[in-house]
Amino acid sequence: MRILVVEDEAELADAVQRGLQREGYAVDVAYEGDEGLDKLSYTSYDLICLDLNLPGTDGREIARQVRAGLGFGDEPPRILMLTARDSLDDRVAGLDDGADDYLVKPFQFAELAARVRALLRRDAGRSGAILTVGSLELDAARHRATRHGQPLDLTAKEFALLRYLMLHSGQVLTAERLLEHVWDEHADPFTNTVRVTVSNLRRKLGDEQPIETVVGSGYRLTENG
Amino acid sequence: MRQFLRSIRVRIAVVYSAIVFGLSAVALGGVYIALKSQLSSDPVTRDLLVQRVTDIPGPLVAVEQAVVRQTIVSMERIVNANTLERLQDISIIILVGLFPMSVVIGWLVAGRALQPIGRISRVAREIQATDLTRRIRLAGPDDELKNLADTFDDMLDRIEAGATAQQAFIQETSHELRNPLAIMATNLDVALNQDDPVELRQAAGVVRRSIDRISHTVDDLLTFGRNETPITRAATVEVAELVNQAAAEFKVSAEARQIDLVVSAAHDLIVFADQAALRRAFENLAGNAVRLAPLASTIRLSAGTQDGWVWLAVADEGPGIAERERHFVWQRHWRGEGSSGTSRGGLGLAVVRQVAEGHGGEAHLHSEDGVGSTFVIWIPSVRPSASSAPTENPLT
Repeated sequence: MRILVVEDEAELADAVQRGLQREGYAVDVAYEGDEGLDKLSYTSYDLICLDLNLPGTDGREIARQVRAGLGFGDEPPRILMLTARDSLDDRVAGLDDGADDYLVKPFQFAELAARVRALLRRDAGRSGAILTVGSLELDAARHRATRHGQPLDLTAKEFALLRYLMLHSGQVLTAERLLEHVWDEHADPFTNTVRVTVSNLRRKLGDEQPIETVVGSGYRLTENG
Repeated sequence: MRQFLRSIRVRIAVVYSAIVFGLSAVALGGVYIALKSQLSSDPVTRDLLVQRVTDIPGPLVAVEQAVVRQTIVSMERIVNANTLERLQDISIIILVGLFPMSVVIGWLVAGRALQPIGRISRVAREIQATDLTRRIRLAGPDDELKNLADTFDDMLDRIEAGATAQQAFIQETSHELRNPLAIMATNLDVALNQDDPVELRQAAGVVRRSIDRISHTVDDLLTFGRNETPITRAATVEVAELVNQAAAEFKVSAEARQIDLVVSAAHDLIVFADQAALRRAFENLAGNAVRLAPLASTIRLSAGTQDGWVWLAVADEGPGIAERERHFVWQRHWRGEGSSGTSRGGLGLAVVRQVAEGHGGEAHLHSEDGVGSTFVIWIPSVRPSASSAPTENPLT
């Protein structure tokens, strides 16, 4: 899951980035509205943590542009607005402009993380905090994954990859798409990092491999196994 | 009931009715009395000539002339008395009929005249502190009541503007305080989830900086609040000393950004001012410059005098402030375009202007794209030779 944090308070943006990275997300940061628009126009994000008051293009304008179809990607990103304004009018305006959720500063990081999880779950049309595909179970809140009830010892990146595959189980996902949604902007697109991580994950999942390789297209997580 | 009896409408109706009734009674009574005195004092038949009637056939009746006259006068008296009695009856009937009529008419007239007042007070009652958008907007002729309603509307305009400004001020200020709070909260949350002493140390540094920012905002708020009233705690202030103090204050942060602080203040410059407020204003300017000027540039802190006005100036070598923005910099919570969160934003420059104006002075900005900006505080000295501050940049 790839997240863009657009926030002009650098120390806040960096802390949110650090925290979300530890939750297993790929996180990019933009400190200004225009920088945010820039990144949105060439990367497909799953979620944006968007500050309402930004120098240059402000948060509401970015939300409007995203809703109007800015950027590219399979689905438009979810928008979580972060703001110091909490009047009803501000909240209504923010939601009307296309925000999916609204968080007033100062917030607890645990709440931010929970709302991010909830918003990303909505993508997959699931309601519970625990994802289940076949014998695989993944608890995003507790950072635990099991297969046949046996805990899996995964790195943060493997965990993030498994979550993305589980959220899109049954679909064929290209290596490019995985790179875009599971890795952040510092990943080198010319390395075989995706292939390496997929093979490590496969090794840890063990027998009756649920991750199929679709020759020439990409990978698919299936229910058998 | 007491309320009702005390209402202006009832009072007007009663007074009106009493006046109409009284005047009618006086008029009718006057007519009665005048008529009565006329009729009784001077019977017209007294002068009647009674002649012996001789040409009527039949037996002659000899009647004493005096007796005849007496009889006729008596008859006239009786008729007069009857007429007067009639008049009295009619007057009483009229007065009795007039009383309820005058009460009703007084009630209606008073109601009609007071109707706009009822409307004014109803609207005024309906206007809540939370919804100041309603107005009376009384239609009708341009009379006293319309004037009253318009005066109320004007007052409501001013109250609404004041309330809106206050609301915006509170919003902006809470915004200003919430950002550093959010920075502290998030950094601590993220660091406490991790047992990493280095990260905890970094978080502590972030908290320290955020606290500085919050205390700065609070100081600005206090200065701003205090200066809503005219400067009261004035004393003689050594301007050069104040400039040197500011330079010392920002020495470390300027060095961290390799900024050269150049101080040039003429000695024995003295103004009569609120020292704390003036120092705060000057330090706001210096602080902005040190924080925002390009790395390894020069900032000049200077003071001087011209036309009897003392000036304190901070000049940077920054990118300058866009022409269309220059007018807005002195407003509260103005944020420079493209600036970061630690920009000139907030109360800083508003405080500068307020302090300057509180001392009967002015605050000016001279900015040139790509060359830099100079912020100047002008304070009139004891005997300024010009009534307003010079408009040119004192540093050029």
